[in-house]
Amino acid sequence: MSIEKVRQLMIDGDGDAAVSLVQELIAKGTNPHDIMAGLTDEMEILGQKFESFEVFLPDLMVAGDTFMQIMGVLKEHLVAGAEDKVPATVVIGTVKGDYHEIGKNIVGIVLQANGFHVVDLGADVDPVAYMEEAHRSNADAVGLSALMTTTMPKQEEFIKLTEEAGKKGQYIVCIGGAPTSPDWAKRIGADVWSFDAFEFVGKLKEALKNRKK
Amino acid sequence: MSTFRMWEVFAKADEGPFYKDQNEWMVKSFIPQMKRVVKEHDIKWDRKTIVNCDDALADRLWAAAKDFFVSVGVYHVDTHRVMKFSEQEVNEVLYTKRPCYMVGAGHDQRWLRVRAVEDREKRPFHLFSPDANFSTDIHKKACMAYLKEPLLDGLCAPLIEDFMGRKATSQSPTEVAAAMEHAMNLRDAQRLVGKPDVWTVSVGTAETDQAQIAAANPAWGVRPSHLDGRMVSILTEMTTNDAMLNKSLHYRSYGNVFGNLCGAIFGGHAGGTEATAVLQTAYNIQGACLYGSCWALNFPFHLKWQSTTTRELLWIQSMLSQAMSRNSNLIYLNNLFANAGPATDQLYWECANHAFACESSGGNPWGAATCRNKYTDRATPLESRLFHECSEASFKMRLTRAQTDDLCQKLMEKYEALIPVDNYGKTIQEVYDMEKITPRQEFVDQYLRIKDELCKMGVQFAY
Repeated sequence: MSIEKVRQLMIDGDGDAAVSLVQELIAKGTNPHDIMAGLTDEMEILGQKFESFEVFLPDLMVAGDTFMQIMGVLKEHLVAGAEDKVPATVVIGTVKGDYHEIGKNIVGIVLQANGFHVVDLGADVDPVAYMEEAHRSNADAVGLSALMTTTMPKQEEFIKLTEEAGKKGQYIVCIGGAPTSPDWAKRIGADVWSFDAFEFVGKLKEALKNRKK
Repeated sequence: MSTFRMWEVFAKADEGPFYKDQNEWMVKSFIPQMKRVVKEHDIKWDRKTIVNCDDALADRLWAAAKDFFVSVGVYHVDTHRVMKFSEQEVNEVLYTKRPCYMVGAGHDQRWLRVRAVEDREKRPFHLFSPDANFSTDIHKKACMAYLKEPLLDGLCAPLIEDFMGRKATSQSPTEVAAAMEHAMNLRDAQRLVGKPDVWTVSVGTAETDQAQIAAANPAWGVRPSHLDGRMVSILTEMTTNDAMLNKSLHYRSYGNVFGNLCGAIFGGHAGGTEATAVLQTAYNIQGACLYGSCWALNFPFHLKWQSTTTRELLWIQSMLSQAMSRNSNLIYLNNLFANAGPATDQLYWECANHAFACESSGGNPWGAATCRNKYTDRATPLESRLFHECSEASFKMRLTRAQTDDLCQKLMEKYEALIPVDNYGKTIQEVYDMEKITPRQEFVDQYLRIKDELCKMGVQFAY
């Protein structure tokens, strides 16, 4: 009975067993922050394996789902020892008129695995809904995904709206999706463009670091 | 048309099991069922083969796909319900599906049909399609350039980028107008090159249901019945929505010989190679049952590269083709998405490999898309020409699957290491003289050089 076992249960997607083991560990005095650190490490390892296709999205989703179940238990204990820094919040979604979610979902999972707090607005998201959620959750970044050439302009529309609303610079604007490119990102004034979810995490961390300077 | 019962199917969107979101359905149903069918039906890939020669494996793949579809159903994202089909319903659809359609008219009329594995009688159906955006000012000429291709049996024209200086945007008037302009350009282009009745799959610029409906007009736009084709997508993965059902309703009432556009993602929700093959095959069953589609366009693609020409993706195309040709009347085409761009040798090797991997497995070529589908104006009829000439050569030579696998292995060596490289080549304006609508000599020379190299590898072209 150990954190190692919890990590394995998370990979196996056995949420019930994982939750009951975590409760047992905490009752016996295990530091919840150590459990949290172990799970975050495991998610990071899974993310790396996914990048090289040693594991696949279903493995990440199953583990991610179990991770969230465990977090439901750990949360109250983690708050008690709130010396940890607050994780950066990223609002993500697929733009209005576009129903393709897989790229955005992978970004969400990889962000969570890297310790970000993710607010996922789903697909077909109105530009105003991104803005409202970014304001409500005091977001550090907003990520807009588009898979169609006819929905890419919604990324531009969002940036234009933030400028008109005087919110430019309040959060980092990130775009992605198969038809997008660095040229497109530059043209519409996005802060971050990346080839895939893994590159995105690195670029976002860098952008957040620069923003704090 | 089959006896598919449209309204009974639509009702399933309001009556099936409820899941609060797609993620819950994925974790509780889709993922465990996929793991089960891959294991139970013993679907395995050796990580090397490109063209499958194992008939029993192809038959098991078909059984796995049918099992998966019946077990999982289709998630409807608007109603949050799963549209489930019984095995009896699936069998009815499969039995009543027509194995061939006469498409187009006059001297442009062709048969679109199911082909057999290592088919010796039925030549492939050559559907040309750049699957790319072209600038509005060259759109009509680009359509003409493709329509001039000698092997062309049908065309899915390039998309229009802008309308009146504004980017065509989904759900807005610019999309509706661009879709109408697309349809008008295509009809004009057909007349101007002397192929007025060729079967076109229209209109790619119309992403939404309302834009598709707006572009349908027998006088100037998309024609009804067998004269034109349409497409309705399956959303990733195994999901649909009201807009897609609206499209299928419109296509059926307009009488088009329409298809189901489906691309399982390798590395996506299904997982690895074997599961992606199951999912992609299941999509063909899904399109027939859910939308009543007459055919399917298969584009299983790589999550990272957005292409269909990697080793695992070619195996998937070969497998699904054999699974369906051996076990069903479902008509399908095999879509090529290449990594490289026009006027690069890499693009030609990718086109050749995709054509050979599919033809002997019973496939029909649809292509060629380039540059990971990312850049405007970066596609030309030349790479499509090679793609279709290779498919025709494979048929004319009556290549067996074993012979084809040898050839595909050699072709794979030419570009496999280059796949991660961004090699996007040139635009159509650089490769073609857009006044004369002919390729420039240096690119014709390159084309002929590639054909010579293929001849040295044993390929005998039809002409």
